[in-house]
Amino acid sequence: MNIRGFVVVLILVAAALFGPATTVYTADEETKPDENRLFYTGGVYYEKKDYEKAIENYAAAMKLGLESGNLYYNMANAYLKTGRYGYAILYYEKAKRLIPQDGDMKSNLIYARSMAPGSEAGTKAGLAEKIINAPFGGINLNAVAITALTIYMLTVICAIFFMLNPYYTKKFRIIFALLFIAFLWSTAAFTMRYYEDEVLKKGVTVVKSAEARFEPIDDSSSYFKIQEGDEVIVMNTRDGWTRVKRSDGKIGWVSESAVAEI
Amino acid sequence: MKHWRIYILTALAMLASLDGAYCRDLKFETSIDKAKVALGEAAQLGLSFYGTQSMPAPDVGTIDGLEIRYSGPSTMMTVINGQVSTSVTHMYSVVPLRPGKFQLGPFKFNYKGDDYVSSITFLEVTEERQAPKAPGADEQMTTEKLNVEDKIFVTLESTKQIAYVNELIPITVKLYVNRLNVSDIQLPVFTQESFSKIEFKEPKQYRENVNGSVYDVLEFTTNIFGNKPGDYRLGPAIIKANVVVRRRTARPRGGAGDPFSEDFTRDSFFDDFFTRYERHPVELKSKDIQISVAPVPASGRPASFSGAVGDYQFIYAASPVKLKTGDPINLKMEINGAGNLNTVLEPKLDSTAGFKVYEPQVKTAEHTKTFTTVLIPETESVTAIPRAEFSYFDPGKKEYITISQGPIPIQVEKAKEEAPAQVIGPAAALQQEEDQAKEDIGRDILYIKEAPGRWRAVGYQVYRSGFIAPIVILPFLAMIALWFVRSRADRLKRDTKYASRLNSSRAARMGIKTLKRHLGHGDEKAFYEALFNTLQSYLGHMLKLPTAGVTADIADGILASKDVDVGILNAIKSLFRKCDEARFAMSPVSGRSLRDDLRSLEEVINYFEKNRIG
Repeated sequence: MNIRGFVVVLILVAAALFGPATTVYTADEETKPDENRLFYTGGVYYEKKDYEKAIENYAAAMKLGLESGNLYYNMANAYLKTGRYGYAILYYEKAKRLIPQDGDMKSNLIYARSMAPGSEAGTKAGLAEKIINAPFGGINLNAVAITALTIYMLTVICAIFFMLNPYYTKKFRIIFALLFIAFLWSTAAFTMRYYEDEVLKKGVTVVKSAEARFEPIDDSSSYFKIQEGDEVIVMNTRDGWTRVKRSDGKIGWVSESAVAEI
Repeated sequence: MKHWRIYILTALAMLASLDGAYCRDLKFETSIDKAKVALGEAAQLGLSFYGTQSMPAPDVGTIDGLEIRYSGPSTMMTVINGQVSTSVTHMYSVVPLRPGKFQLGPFKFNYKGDDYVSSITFLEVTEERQAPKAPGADEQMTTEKLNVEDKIFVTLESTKQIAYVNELIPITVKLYVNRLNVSDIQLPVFTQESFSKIEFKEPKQYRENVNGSVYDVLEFTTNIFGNKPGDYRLGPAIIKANVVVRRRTARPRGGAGDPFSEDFTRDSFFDDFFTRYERHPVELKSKDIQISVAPVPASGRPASFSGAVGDYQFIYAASPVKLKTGDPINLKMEINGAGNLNTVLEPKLDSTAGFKVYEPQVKTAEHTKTFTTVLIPETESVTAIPRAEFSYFDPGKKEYITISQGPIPIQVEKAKEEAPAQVIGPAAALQQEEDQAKEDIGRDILYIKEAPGRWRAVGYQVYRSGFIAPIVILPFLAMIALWFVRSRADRLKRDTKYASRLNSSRAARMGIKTLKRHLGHGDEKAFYEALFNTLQSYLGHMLKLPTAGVTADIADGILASKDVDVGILNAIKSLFRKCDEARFAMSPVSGRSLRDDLRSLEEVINYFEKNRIG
């Protein structure tokens, strides 16, 4: 395989990875036209300061089984305007998973946290986690997955190319080494992000205050208190109770309605 | 001096006018202490003038069957919560001369050109004499022994027995007093569960004739309202006061039944000298009353209804209506009328888009509640203050009523940006820094997104798609396979021993497969031909000899030097010999021998594979 062949293979791989995703989004837009109407109607109500109506329309769009970062962002804004800071933070966090690079979202999330009685923003990332996530901080989990997959494919193709063409092995071994490091890095970033977003069930306190109890029963002793806007880890639910873990490691049972999963 | 004269003349004129008003406001009442007396028993007739203490005793004339003598005046001043009222009562002793029912009044009296006509009362005279009081009874009077039920009592009244939740219910508590001195009167109290807090207004004072007896009445009024539906009992109303009793401690002369004593002791000088006054606390209770509180109807309830019940007007006004952006508009929303203003909330504006709206200031008067809100137009595009709506439930009409007011047109101009004052000289930089330091940085959320962005199915993740697994696994497997192939090819090139063993083994496997096929067909010649080729090929690859050059003797010579087992060597020789015999001598061989030879070949090959000889 020569250089030209290698480039062609790369193009084909990229097309295979990005092509289907783009096609899916486009298809969704064409087959479900109502979500756009609901989104814009919500915006009109928001401008009229009828925030409850705005929330209704945004929620109706979500009921169609679709989501977008901007939809969650607008929903959060509407909740913030009604003073329900817990729900505002919840939807900003949802938006953050889709449009993590959005500056407006980041600003409003900080503002919402400053307004909410609770200020616990969940677990903080360690140094290693920050370093690994640094190149991928501005993209969502899907984009991280696609990036990691692309780098993986390039690494494999590069390896095959070198096996078939041992002559180039010495000439381009630095490229292969860099590709391999990038592959390991992106895989680690994806794994960490996947763990954060999918394995760890994060939740936000959406009521003004809730008592976390030792047992999932009403007359159980209170252990600690969570306040509106506090981020917690949702461990499991049982008979109207949710077992949550606070950022300081304390675990207790709160009413299921007190916490909403991100 | 002229001024002083004017002042004096004005004061005199005011006094004269007051005197006139004074006369016109006077009340003239007739009362009697006992409605029923026996022959020989005296009753006390009182002719009272309210609002003055300087009225002379009127002439009552004569009444057939009654002997009336003037006893003297009695003045009274009452102070309740700072309100002073005065009166003078001229007392007459009425001694009946015969049984019967006598009308006392109306008495006519002219004083300083004004005519006064009293009310009337009645006195019934019987022949039976009531049992005389025990001597010294007056000295032992207590609040219980005072005939208080007749002389002082409390009533509780309401004009509404059925009301809606939040509807005002007028409550009246009256204190009746007949010829008793009462002081330290406290405001009425009573239990009012499920009703609003009770706050009485200043009481009214007047006189009222009840069954022929005139009572001084203190009337307390208030409004309450029910908090929740149900049937409730209100009361009893309780009023605490002190009854002042005149107690005579010593009498220098005379006694009961002395016809003079009574007249004599009425002399004020002796009253003051020989009597003293005692205060007896009393707690007066009214009867309680039944009040039913009904809920306001659920049907037809407008969205803007916030609990107001009554009959109201809604006034909506704004000023100024011509202004610039950023200038405040005072929006006044006034609810007035009869009803419970406690439950009247601020009317809601339709939309406040384009305005900055501040919290209203609320003022409540007796029949008015005013909400004053400040609106600031943020843009010159606003043309009107939006419509406001107020809904209430009218208990008289038994229906909800909604009043809409507005919109109020306004003209908003864009405010001019005022140029900042120029600071000349080196102070300019300093001034600029100060301005920056003084600047308050606003903080609020950023505006909503105007486009929805990229939609996707909720929870969609690309790595969960079906095409991802093949994309990940297949290239990896291909890479592994390629590596394996490449590695094997390289070894075959480099390692001749490995390549010989690999070829001999392959040759043996293929040969045995062919031999089994010939054995199955019973083709003896082909069998031995194949056996010879397999043995020759296997040994040739193993010993790195040309296949065609391998014979029994050559193989035996080489293998003997490699310490091959003698049995294996003999087996190889035997197989070569049998092949030669079958191929060239055409001698028949039994089927059993073919199978034995095949097994012998397999044993030879297994031996060499196992011991890696080559």
